[in-house]
Amino acid sequence: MAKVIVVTSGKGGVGKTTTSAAFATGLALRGRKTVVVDFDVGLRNLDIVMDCERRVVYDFINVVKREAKLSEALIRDKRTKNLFILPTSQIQDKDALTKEGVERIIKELRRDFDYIVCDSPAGIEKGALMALYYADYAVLVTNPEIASVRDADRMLGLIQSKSRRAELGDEPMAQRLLITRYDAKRASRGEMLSVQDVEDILAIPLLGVIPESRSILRASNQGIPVILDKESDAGQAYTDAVARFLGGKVEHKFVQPSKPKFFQKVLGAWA
Amino acid sequence: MDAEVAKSDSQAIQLKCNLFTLTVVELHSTNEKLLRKELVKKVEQAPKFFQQTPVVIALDKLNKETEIDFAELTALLREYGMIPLAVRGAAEKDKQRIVEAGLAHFNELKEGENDKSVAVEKPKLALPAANDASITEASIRPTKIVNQRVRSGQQVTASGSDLIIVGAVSEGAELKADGNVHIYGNLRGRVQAGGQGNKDARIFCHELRAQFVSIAGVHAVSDSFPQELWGQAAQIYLSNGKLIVEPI
Repeated sequence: MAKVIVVTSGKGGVGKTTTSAAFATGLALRGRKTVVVDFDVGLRNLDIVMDCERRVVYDFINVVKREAKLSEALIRDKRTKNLFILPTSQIQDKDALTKEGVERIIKELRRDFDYIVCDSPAGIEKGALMALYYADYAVLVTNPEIASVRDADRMLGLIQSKSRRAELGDEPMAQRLLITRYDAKRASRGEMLSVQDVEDILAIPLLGVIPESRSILRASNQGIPVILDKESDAGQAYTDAVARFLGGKVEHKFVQPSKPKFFQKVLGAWA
Repeated sequence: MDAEVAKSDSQAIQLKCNLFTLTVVELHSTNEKLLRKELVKKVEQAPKFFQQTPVVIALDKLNKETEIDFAELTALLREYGMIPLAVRGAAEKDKQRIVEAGLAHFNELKEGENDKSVAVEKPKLALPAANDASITEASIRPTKIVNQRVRSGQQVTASGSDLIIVGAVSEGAELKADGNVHIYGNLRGRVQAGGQGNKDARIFCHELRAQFVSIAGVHAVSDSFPQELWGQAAQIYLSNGKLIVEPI
């Protein structure tokens, strides 16, 4: 049974698109047929992060408006098997998304894919609401700072009331927390919220902690999802998060400040 | 018509509670001439005010032994445009005659209440009551219970009742109740208890980190809470018009 995952946050700039790209790639690497859909109509970025912007002929909105077939708009990822991208329009705006159109496309995607990853725009307006509406599973991306945690809380409230599952009274959407740009050292000094602080406020299970890393910016600019960077700690953290999502038990790394002990280094390399 | 009656299984009547502000006519005398003189004066001052104004006749200031003709009194007030609804503070002996005059009776003011802010007890249905207890019971609204945390941007209101939240209240969330508010969790949001001017309402929470609390309109923001109670289990209530925050 196909699953629709929404990557959302409320606040902008916390790493939704980076996470969507990494997460979708991670699922595809694990053999799941995956499509990542850009809901940020008018501010499309996903195609840049996935390095397929020059291959966009038709987009999500063309399909919503029945100007193109879904198969014409889907872009097969060059690097990763099982991975497809559905880019959005840079010209249209969020009003181009209609509930009927999105429903039709999600339905069609459910037939062909194992996982449909929806990259939500920031905010709580139409684009974000459409991205979460049909989802079965939400990944809440937040930075360890108050504003982004507060916005994530707001978003959780909207999921509770505005999603299709909520409207139909179905089983509530699964919700998981992904903390990005985490710096364990600074958190231990009280300069940013700790994982514990964020968990206390949001009260949903933790899917992963992605450390602050130079490799993220490099990956975005090169158009290579960071999860493909084997040297990157952030890439490692995304790999672990995907494993947890698929039911694996993986210990959270990067939560404690790293202590340069030989013993831990060896263990870390193994994990 | 009959067909409509036979067919209709929906409610033709719905009973609802409501609070109204009423004008109280407080009697200091029962001398008809004196009353008439004063009424003429009052009507001259504000003629519009006395057009079809529903009023409650208050006897609190009169001697309980005073003999009053309620039919006559009602007629007098009607003559000047008022519509008497009820009598407040009547002696036990008068109650039967008040009902006969087509009026309801309210209880006397309690100690410390005053006419300006008091919410007049809502009129009970003019049905023969089996016993008083059943009426009191029926007029208690069930408490509103929310079994999940209230998140930022969400608002929960409980009109005419208490509110219980089993879970935390996030920053940016808002609770409003006419009665008491209980929070079995961390309170980080905003709470207004004692809507409709209920000064006896209280707020209880497991961990006090509220942004804003208010009881019957008297409010405080987080900066003004005692430092030592921050994050502690606490109750908040009004005493002499001041908000008191106390550990539980």
